[in-house]
Amino acid sequence: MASKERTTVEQKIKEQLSVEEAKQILFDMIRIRELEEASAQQYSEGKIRGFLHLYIGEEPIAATILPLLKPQDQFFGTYREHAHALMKGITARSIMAEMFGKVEGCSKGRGGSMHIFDLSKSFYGGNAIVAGHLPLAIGMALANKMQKNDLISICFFGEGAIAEGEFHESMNMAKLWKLPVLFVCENNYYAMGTALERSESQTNLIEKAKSYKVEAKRVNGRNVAEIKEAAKQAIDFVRSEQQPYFLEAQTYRLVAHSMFDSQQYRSKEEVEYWKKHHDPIAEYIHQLKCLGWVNSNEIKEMQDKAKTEMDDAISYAQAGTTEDFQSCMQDVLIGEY
Amino acid sequence: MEKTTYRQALHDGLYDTLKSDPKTFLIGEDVGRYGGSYAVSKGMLQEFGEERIKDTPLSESVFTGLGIGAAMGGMHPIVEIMTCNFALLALDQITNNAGTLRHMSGGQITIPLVIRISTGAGRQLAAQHSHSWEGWFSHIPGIKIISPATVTDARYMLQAAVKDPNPVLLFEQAALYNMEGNLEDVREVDISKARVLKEGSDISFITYGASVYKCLEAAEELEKLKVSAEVIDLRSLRPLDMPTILTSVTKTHRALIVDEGWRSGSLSAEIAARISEECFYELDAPVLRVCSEEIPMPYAKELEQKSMPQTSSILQAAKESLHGGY
Amino acid sequence: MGDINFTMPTLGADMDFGIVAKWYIKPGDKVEKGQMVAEIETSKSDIEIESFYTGEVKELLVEEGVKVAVGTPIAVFDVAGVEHEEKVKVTKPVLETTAEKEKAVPALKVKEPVDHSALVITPRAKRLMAQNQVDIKQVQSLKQEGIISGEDISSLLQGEIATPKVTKAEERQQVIAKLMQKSKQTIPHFYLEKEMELAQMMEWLEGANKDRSMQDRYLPAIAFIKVLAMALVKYPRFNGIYKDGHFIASEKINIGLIISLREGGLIAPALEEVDKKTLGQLMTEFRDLVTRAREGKLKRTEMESSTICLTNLGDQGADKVYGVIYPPQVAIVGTGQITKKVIKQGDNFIETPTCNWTLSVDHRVTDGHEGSMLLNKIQKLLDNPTKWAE
Repeated sequence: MASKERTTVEQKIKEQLSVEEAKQILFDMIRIRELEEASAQQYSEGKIRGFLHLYIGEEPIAATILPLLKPQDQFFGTYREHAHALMKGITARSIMAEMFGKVEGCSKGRGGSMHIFDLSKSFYGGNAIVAGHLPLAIGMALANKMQKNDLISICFFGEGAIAEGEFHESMNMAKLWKLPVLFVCENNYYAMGTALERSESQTNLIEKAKSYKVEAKRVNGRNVAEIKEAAKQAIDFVRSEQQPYFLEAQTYRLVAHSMFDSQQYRSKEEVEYWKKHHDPIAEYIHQLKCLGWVNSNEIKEMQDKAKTEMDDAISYAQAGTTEDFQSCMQDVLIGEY
Repeated sequence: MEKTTYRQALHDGLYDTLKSDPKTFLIGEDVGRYGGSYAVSKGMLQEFGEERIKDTPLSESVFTGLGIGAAMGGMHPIVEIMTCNFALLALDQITNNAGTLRHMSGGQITIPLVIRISTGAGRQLAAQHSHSWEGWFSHIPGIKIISPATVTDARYMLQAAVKDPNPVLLFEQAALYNMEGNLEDVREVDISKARVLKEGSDISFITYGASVYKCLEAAEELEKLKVSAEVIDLRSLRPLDMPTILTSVTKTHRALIVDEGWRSGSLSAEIAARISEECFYELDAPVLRVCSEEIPMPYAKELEQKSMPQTSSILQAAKESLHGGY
Repeated sequence: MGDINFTMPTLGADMDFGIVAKWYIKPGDKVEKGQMVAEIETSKSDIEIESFYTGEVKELLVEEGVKVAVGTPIAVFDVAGVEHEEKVKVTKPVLETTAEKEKAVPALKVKEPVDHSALVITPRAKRLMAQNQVDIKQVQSLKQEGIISGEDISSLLQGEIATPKVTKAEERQQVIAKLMQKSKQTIPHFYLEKEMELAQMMEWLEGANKDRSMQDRYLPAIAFIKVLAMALVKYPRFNGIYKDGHFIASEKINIGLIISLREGGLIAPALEEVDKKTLGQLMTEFRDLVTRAREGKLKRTEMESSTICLTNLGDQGADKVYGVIYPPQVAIVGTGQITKKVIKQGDNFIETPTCNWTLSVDHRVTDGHEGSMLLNKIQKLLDNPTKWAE
């Protein structure tokens, strides 16, 4: 890689981030990675069941964007949402307990990995019907707008959701009704096993958003500074203009779609290439080291701290209890039913 | 007692609701400028403005989901889906979100949403516009299903539904919009209970919606034969008011369910099963059903009418039941 | 040229009626195809309607402000190239009534009631029978032939025989006829007869009734019942049932009294354990039984528990009666009216009360010898009232 390009990346970091901020994002990326690896391990030990979708390789997006929101801004995510939950302030304990199916989990163990909810953190899931949560996010945006509470809703989804009608209907209505919602498309190029070009006639995703006259921008999802700059702009725009915004973050999933995935749809070489050359955490560490903003000791310290946090979360989840079944019969409706 | 039509009663109920609850707003296809496909929201736009009477694009899934999201955000949206066949396009939102989120989030999410949907056959609208999907929707835990048969219920059910903190699907009976009736002197109705519209001692007719009137007519015919039929208007299709149903069947020992939906996997099947489960040893005849014929609804008038439950078929089934099902 | 009806158009699937809010045309006007001819008020909104014809307005059939059903002719146009069509004068809105709808709609196919001769017991009936230890043999299908419903059981349990309520006298008579036919066809009857002398009994009754009110007086019939019971204690082979080729003696002596109902038909409720009761008790029970029988308020047990029957036609004036055995019982005793007979006592002729007793017996169970002994025993008891009457 040309050194000129490298310099540009590092300059951008200096422009967009303070040292503290940059280190916090790195620490959060490491926490996310640690959480995901711990989850994978617990899954293989049978402690976590159901589907488990990991965020490894996509860490910079959640770690950079979510801290830019107001705590009360409402988040709507996909089933690949552990990282976002962690970034929205839900504790690793609560997330892990949820994945263990324990009542101590944020959704009382009723949701599992795909359905993390914590309204005290304005975290609205954890939605497992692809694109099914987009209408919820624009509805929330409408409620915010009608109540003039200066909040925005933010909705993450993968590029697979763009093939769904609900994406198009939501874009249309969000723009038509001028709804303050930030759409973030994490484009990891594979909808499960279907590559983007096999799924979309138009692979330029921001063109789709623009066709609805929605403001749109594309960023490199491995470039923290670029994400930060674009996301901040987008959030400010949505809040102040009371208009939707579409942000595409291009990224690459370094692991399988979920735990039962032999990855027939992409070559080992391809995955190896990305792991070796474009692991976003390695890249970011390298950039910060070049800037002299972190040293190996600090990184080791961060890793240890993250490991301790996740070990503690596992112990907590392990010690948790399953919800009483009578209690689980509650909350279907409010009142008698 | 004041006379009014079902349509006018729905209109007045909607007006009162919007007037009394500032968190409510109406969204749907052609609810505003057009005045509503069935004219229930006629004049509302002029009264309440575009902020609260919102015409949507033809995007049932998304505007339904938007209603759910807005309800989660503290509003009391009223979503109108023009007809229940279009509601299938919103089935994912109703099932996977409205019906699920509260429980799945461990009781954190509240969805005070009302979806108004017109339903039923009898208008020669053929196979894609004559469904009675309310039974199908009533399969879903986490939502309430109600359907007014009387003008009084048409007038006051919406207000009760809006006050309910749960997602409520209110199925308006397309066949009844022009029906005139006496508005009872009440100010509110309880949407959790079925109602005995006519007391009887020999057989229970369990029904709802437009079929209520066919049952009442059949009951009147039976009086001439000295047979006393009880007619129950279910009103709430989910949850079902089983105590009222069981009390009636325990009294009459015979049950006939009249449901405009198709027979297989229907609401009538559910009620019949529950009667068998919960008061089998009170029965003096098999639980019988009169449902729509299992064909896509034909257009031609006579064929359509033949396909649906009618007073004559109810009478015939009732006589069969009174003969012990033989 | 020809006349054509212009009808109230249907402007939507849910439009049933329309009101002609305003006519834009009047008779004599020329109309062009596509020309707006009227404003129609519907429940949704006001809509202008156009003519589908070119021609001349001959007549407006509906005034402004009148509500008519869709399809109702509202005007007559004279149109070129149309054959004459009979116009319909409209005086009031034509509404489709439910009755008409019904006519147009033949019933859905429903199973025809079929003849089902096997006995069906409904779930409710089964539960009631189990809970109350009711034997199916005790139950009659009263409401629907072939089906024992909960109502059949509950009326039995409520202590009311539903018979008078739901079955007509002729039907009841038919039931009895069938039963009697079966009895005569299957039971080999034999008959014995004896003229009983009642002097001792009547004398005793007179004494006993002297201080009694009319209400409390012992009737000769009650004495007969008691005497029969006491005789059966000694000769138990007449008291019981014949089942599966065997006689089963009954421990209790429950005497079924054949009672004719005013509206026709017979029933045979029982006085139970007659041998163990005093005349006073029996008298009370007897009066009660007859009253209730005629009111149709007998108890199930009373209807089903008799072990032998007694038919007393004395009050009706018959001299003797040969009863038909009530299956599965094995005997029936008949008594005629009490008459006076002149007999020679010593050197004198005196009048003495007598009564003909008959005995119908199932020959499969016993014979004439034993029957005679029973009758003799009865005479003996009649001669010694103090043995059974105190």
